[in-house]
This record gives sequence, structure tokens and C-alpha cells, in this order.
Amino acid sequence: MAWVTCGLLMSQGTTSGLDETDTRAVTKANFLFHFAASNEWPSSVKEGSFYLTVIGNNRLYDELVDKYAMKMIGAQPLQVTGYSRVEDLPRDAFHHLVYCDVGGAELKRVASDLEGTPTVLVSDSPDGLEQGAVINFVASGNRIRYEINAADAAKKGVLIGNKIMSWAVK
Amino acid sequence: MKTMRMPLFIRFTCALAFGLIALCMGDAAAQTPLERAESYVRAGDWDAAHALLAPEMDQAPYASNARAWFVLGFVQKEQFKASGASGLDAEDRIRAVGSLQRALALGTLTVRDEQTARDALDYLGRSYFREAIERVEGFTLGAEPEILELMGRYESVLRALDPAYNVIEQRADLHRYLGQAHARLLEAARYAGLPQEQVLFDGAISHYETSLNFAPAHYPTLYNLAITLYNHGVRQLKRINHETSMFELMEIQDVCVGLFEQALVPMQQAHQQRPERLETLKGLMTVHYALSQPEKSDVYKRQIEAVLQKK
Repeated sequence: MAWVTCGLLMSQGTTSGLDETDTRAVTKANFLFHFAASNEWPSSVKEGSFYLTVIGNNRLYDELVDKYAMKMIGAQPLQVTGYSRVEDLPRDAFHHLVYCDVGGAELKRVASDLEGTPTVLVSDSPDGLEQGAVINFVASGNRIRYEINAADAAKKGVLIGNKIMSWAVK
Repeated sequence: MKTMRMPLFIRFTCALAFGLIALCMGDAAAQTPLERAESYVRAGDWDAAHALLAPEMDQAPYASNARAWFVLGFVQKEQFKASGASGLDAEDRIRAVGSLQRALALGTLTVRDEQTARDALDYLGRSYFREAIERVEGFTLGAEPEILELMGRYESVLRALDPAYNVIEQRADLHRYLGQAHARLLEAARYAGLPQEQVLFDGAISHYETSLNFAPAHYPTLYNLAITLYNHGVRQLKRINHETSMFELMEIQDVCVGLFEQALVPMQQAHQQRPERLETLKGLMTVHYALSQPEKSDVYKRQIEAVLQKK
């Protein structure tokens, strides 16, 4: 048959490839940038670089380095650091914003280590706020949203910006 | 009185020459334009054959002469081949199809002529098809109307040869190819952020959906439709950067989630066709992940691991 002969010229199978971009990492990276840029940190940590640290999520770290590293947070250039495991996080260094991909006891340990510092801990865990995170990513209507423990942030001396508050689910 | 007389051998030679000339002239006068055209055909002189026969076709003896239309159509087909012309405006091809179809419609061809006419028409029909496929393979924006018209002519010739011929499968394939052609241009990023990007996306989706109307359970079409929807969502997401406002981020998320949700439907249908196909399992795992549904994503992740263990 003519069609069959000529049809061999065209692919009979699937040709398109799935884009393997980590879509959640892209969205979360932008949220983290807004958390950095739109909250108010105490004046004691408003000099030098702005430190954003990622624990346990290489693709989120890569996305942040690729698109946001060295962008200005006020007058502070954004420095992004990544660690694979919770125990790798240096306890003696200051971090403005820490994202921790793991939940449960490990998240609680990070929160405990950061207690008393003006660090905003961000998590992506069903019980993130209970474990000590200030901001926790949640799924809402198939979208990434976040919830905030504004009281905890205030205790740390960090004022959550209106823009950030207005988009929070609770 | 003395008369002049030619020698005998000269008189004989002249008589023979006059006789031959008369015979030749008499034979030429007896040949019809069709017969003379056929002798040109036998010599491969298509232009001479056409010049002789074409003006005669409006005349009463030939207007309803199937053999004359057949010879003319054959000549026009050969002229088309020799010209190297292509596209909708290749006039020799249009004329050849018309002449051959008219020859067949008159219904008085010999069995042999009818078969030759059908073969010639089949050749001409396939030439339309080949050109349509060539244009799909080298697809550029704006080529679509010509491709559809070329395919329409191919189908028309095919139907003339066999009125019962079912073109559904070809149409499903054509629209799938056009969907792929649009999607390939979309992936090439040449039109990233330009209005043509949306035109290409809409074109790809529309052709895949049309293809599915003809062949609803076609796995590659379902999979490609799902991928095109999903990748378009990712494409929007990748434009997010440090200048994206919170409001814009929410808007982009809404658009992306809408596309991801749409992608899920054909991806699931494709998965039902081939439950152990890794690319579909990976697709479902990825789309559920993008929709912030980690538990559902993990279900497919485990299925992938199970399939890989079997191999």
C-alpha cells in the first residue's frame, strides 16, 4: 500500500521527550527567593552576604545557584550553600534562611540547632510547623503553597512581609 | 516535326518517385491526430504528442473518446515527471489526473488501457502524498494549508480509484505527524516567548486531538499529546526568575497546573494501552510529582522499579 510504504518515512512511535526539569524545585526556588527578599531581618544580620542554605535537595540547590545566586537581597548579595545531610550543616555559621527537605526528627533537630538565631527555617513536610519550621510548603489544589508560623518568626526577630503573609494558606 | 522524348530510365525513376510521394501523402492524410500522437508517444516525444492531441480534445470525435483521454493523460503524466515540478501548482499533474479520470469515467477503455490508467493515477496520487510527507518532515510555520491540500488531493485520487477506500487511518496518521511537526518546532525554542509559540502549541494539540478522533486509542498519539501539554507547562515554569513577582508566580503556577492536569488524562489513557511501558510510567510519576501528589507519584515509581526488576 502506498501509504504504508511512504509512511515509513515518518516515525510511527513517540518522538517527544519528557522535560525532566524538577518543576517543584523551580517553584520552590522562587518562593525561597521571595522569602529572602520580602521578610525583614534584624539589623544585626543585614550586613555582608545573605545566606540561604539548602539541606537534602540537590536540584533545588542547583536551581537557586543557577538563577538566584549573587542577586541582591536589599544590599546583600545572595549566597547559596547546599548540604546533602542534616548532620553536614555547620552549627557555628549563620544562615538567614534554611530549607530542609527532610521532616520528622531530623527537621526537629535542625530547628533546635537554629533556635535563638534569626534564621527562618523552611520545610516541606506534613508536620513541618510542628517540628519547628517557620514556613512550611504544602500542597493546595495541586499547587505549591505555604503555611507560616508568624509568631515563631517574631520571636526570632524576623518580620514576615505582608506580601508573604497574604499568599500563605494559614 | 521532331518531338523531344525522355530516356526510358528517367521516365521510370520519375514515375516511381511521384508514386511514392503520393503514397506517403495519402498515408499521412489517413492517420488521425490520435494515431500520430501515439507514434510520438512511442518515440518518447511527449511535448510533440501533447501539442498534437491537446487541441483536439474539445472536438466532437475526441471529447468522448476514452482512448484519446487516456493517451493524453499518460502524456501529461510523463510531462509532469520530466518537469520535476511539485506542489499544488504543478499543472501537468493536475491535467494528467483530470484526463486519466475522464478516460476511466467514460468506461470504454480496454482492460489493458484501464489498468495502465489506474497505475498512472496511483503514481500521481502517491506523488501528492510524498510531497505532503516531505513538507511535514521539513515543517515550517505556514506550511500546513498546503500539506492538507496535498493530502486532500491524494485522498481524492485514491477515492477515484476505489470509492470504498477508507482514509481514516491515513488521516489519523497525517494529523499525528502534523502534531509532531508542530511539537518539534515548539521544542526547538526558536519561537520561545513569541506569539508563534502559542500558535505552534495550539496547532500541536489540535492535530493530536483530531488524530485521536480518527483513532481514539492510538498509544503514540496519546503519549505525545500528554508530553506536549506537560512540556508546555514546564516551559512556562522555566521562565520564572528573580524578576518574577509573587503574583506572577501564582499566575504561572495556575497555568502550569492546568496544563499538567490536562496532560494527566491522555497519559493515563496511554498507560492503559501499555501498562508496563516505562516511558508512560515515568510520565505519570513526573506529572503527579509536578501536581504535588507525592503519594501517587511514588505508586508509579514503584511500578517502574518492578518493571525494571523483571528485565
